[in-house]
Amino acid sequence: MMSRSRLLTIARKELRHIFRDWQTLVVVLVMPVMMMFLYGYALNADAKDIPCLIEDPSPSPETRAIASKIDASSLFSVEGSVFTADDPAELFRLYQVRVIFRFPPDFARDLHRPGGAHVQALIDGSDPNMGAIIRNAADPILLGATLDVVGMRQPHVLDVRTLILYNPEQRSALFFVPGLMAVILLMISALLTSVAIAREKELGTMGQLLVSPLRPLEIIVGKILPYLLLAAVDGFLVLAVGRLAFGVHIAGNPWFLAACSLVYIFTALSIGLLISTIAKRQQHAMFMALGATMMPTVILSGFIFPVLSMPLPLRILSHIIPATYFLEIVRGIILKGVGFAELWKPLAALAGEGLLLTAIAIRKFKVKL
Amino acid sequence: MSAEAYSIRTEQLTKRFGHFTAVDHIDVSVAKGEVFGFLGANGAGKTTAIRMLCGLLQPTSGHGYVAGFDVLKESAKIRTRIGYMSQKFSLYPDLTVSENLKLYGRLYGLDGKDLRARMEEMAAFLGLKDLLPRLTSSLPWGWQQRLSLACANLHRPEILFLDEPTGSVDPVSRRNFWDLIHRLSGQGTTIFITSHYMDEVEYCHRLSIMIDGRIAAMGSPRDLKREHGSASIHELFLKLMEHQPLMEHGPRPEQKPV
Amino acid sequence: MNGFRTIVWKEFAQLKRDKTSLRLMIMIPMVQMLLLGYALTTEVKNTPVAVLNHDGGSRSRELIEAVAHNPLFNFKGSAASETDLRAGLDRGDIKIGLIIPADFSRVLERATRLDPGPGGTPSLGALNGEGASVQLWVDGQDANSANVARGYLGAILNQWAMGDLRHRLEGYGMRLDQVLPVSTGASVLFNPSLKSTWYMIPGIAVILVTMVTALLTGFSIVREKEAGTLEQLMVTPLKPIHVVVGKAVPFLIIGIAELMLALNFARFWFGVPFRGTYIALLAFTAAYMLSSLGIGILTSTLARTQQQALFIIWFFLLFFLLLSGFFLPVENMPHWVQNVTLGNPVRWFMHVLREMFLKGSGFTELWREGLAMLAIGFGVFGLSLVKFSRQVS
Repeated sequence: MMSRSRLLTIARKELRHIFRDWQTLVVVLVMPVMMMFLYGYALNADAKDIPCLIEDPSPSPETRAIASKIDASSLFSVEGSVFTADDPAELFRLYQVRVIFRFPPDFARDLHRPGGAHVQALIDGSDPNMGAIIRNAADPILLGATLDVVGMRQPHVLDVRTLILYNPEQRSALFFVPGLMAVILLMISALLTSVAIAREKELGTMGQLLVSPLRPLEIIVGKILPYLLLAAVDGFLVLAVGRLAFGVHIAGNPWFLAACSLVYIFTALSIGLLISTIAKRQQHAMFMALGATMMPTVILSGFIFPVLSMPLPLRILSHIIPATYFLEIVRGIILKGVGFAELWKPLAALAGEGLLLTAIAIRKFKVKL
Repeated sequence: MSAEAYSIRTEQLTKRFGHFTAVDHIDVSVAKGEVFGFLGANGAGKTTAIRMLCGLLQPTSGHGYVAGFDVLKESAKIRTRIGYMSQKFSLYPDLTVSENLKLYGRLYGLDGKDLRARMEEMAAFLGLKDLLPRLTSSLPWGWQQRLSLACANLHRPEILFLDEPTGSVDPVSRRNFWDLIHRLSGQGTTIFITSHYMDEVEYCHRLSIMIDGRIAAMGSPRDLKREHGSASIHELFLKLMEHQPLMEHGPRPEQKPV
Repeated sequence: MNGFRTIVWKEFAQLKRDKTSLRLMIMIPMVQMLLLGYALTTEVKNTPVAVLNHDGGSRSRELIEAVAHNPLFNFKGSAASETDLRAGLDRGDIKIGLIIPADFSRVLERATRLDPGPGGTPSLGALNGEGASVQLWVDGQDANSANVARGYLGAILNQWAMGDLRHRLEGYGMRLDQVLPVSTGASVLFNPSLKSTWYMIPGIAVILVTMVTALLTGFSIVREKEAGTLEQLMVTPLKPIHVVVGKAVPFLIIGIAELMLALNFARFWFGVPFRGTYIALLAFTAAYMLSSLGIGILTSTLARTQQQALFIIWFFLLFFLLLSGFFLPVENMPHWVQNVTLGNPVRWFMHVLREMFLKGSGFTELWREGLAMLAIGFGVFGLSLVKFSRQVS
């Protein structure tokens, strides 16, 4: 079998390499923490105080009152008003407003006549998100403000009440932490490992190791062990910062989480190993790891972008990526507090992929040696 | 004191990296047109000394004068007057032979007709004429070394610094290389050459032996052999090594990148 | 001086030989644009939804029909009980559950009825406080998507309700505007269909250009450091600034070429319009590249190997990107964060490019952003130059 002391010698050597490369180490440890802080504090999606303009050819107490009600809402903030907006496009270009509320001439007069008055919202659609939010909000706000001013009640035909599950305070950190774990563990286990092995091949030191008493299996395991450790440390760091700085508690069983993470790490390590057998130089390993694992994972796993909204071919690709399943599992455990009973399907998929990749990787490695 | 008499002169030149002294207060002088052998074992401090003289490294203390200019304060003036060939091949493998020559010619201020004329001259001198359109990476090692020498010499420098130019080269090529060096010296170029091959340095006009950062001996080969009663420089070197306490400074620490 | 031109010439001579890299430089951005263009949608589609209907009346059935037929949602059917609905959410089979209370049809009937009011003027039940309600249970893990999906569904439900109201009023021979004194409307400028790709693709172009200029420049210098060729250059009369600018210029040109390629690809494949002028585009891009090239050069002074250069640049760029308004608008960020982004060149370029693409803005409208980019660019490039010079001497 494997000699423990020889294994540990290789592992220690690899660990020393890792610590000497402080630039990479800093990035690997600091980047997830930085992302969490950014996402947690800076990247809030709540739209508020959207700057808007009023077009009011015949100002009246009514139009002014409506305008101030719009301004008083948390969603909009009236930046100013113009008599006419002949060239609304230029107005949008010059001033950073996102919507122009347009009163027609003699609005106040029409208000009290049969047939009523009309008021329009012209929306800057360049940011479609904001555009949609404003479009959904424009009618109700205009209607509500006007009815208020004339002393009528808003017709509430239908009231939609919402209950947010799993993340009642809508904290984005809660959503982000699992995805971050998946990406970081992949980065360490696949990217760093493949580059480390490829580097030894490139420098020729691998040949040196192979002629020593070391068995090939010992070399692989010895090299991989420190990265397994680093991945565990980084994963733990992410959870710890998530807990301490953002109050992200693990609703489910932490040991189950650890077990599933190990399965994922092994899958990622196999990918790293596989890449290192294919790549002849470090640079190739880097680009392969980035292009074939990191990029698809970040984009297609559901980490940031909702997979369901993507076209079918991409959704299929998403189901090939191990991270997609891991993400489902981690989110289930951390946010929903569910366990094996609900998560056995993605876990089986992940484990299956892991075994397959490990088998392929070890076979390729043996052949190459 | 006129530094102009000497091509290269150092006064107590020293370089320290942390606690480790790589070059320890050396006094070296090289006359114009001389072939000067700068000897020492691997790790003795030769490359560090050469890099200080070329302006690539700043001395910790002491002075160095190259072509009459101070290495610390007037390095820009020195650069136009010297050529440098480093131990590791440092031309561009993905350029052709003629492109590498053109590059270095231009960097040294040669242009147009003058550049082309010099390129032809150097190519002929070093036997590179047929290799001009070839990709540098396709050349065997010995020819790559010749190219390095050509590039270092295009601008007719006063002094050529050659760091281990004959490392890993076969004996016949080495002999040819030394012929070329002596021809250059005959044309008036000062050659400052480091080596750890004790046999080929018998061809130098003068040489110095560096041990653990200090100059242990300096003079013409004949004078030194007579002084120390040795039949060869190799023997002389071993004798000097015996008298020095080994590993005084401990193993060389890994030099941190700049 | 000769030095600049010589280095630029050398860089092109080397690039010409590196056919693999050239091919990658063209292919990878296209592939990325393709992938990201489709994947980076902030629209929320195909949200799986199920309904729990306690009501036996016809109105609730009509409501469910409206939801089931809506293309934005993936109707998964009815749940048997609240536990059942909850289980579906727990398993992730559905993302939203719609619960219709038992008296829905009856209450809605009253709300849309026209009562004879005091003095003979008819008044709408709804205006007198009658109103039906439904409840949504939303999977809130992904706060952004949840909000968007909830907004869509809410809008659909309200639209149905208003439609129902109008229909009822027609039965009385009345129109909505006879009951209400005002009607409202909304229209959209610049991106009428609110297409996500139109917004994201200029952003992707920014990322591509930044990657090419920063990464390739950084790699180029670190490679020469690793190989020892940089040292050989510094023995010659060449000055550090010649090396830096000489290396930056070819990558500036390549970056601009990439941008043009991306622009045309976006136009022909995704149909994203470019409404600006090319002159303005080039000017602003060049101003931006001072920063991106500077970052590449700065990184080369920190990294010993190419892998380190990759990680460091990645780190910087991710930081800048998250705070650039690429995903979420800068205006929605806390004020102190917004102040920090004033120094972020990616933020300015992102804004400029989007405005140019979609609104056709130019120098008159964007000169402030241009100035900001120039100021930051000179700062970053200057700093990188100083650090580089110090390192090689």
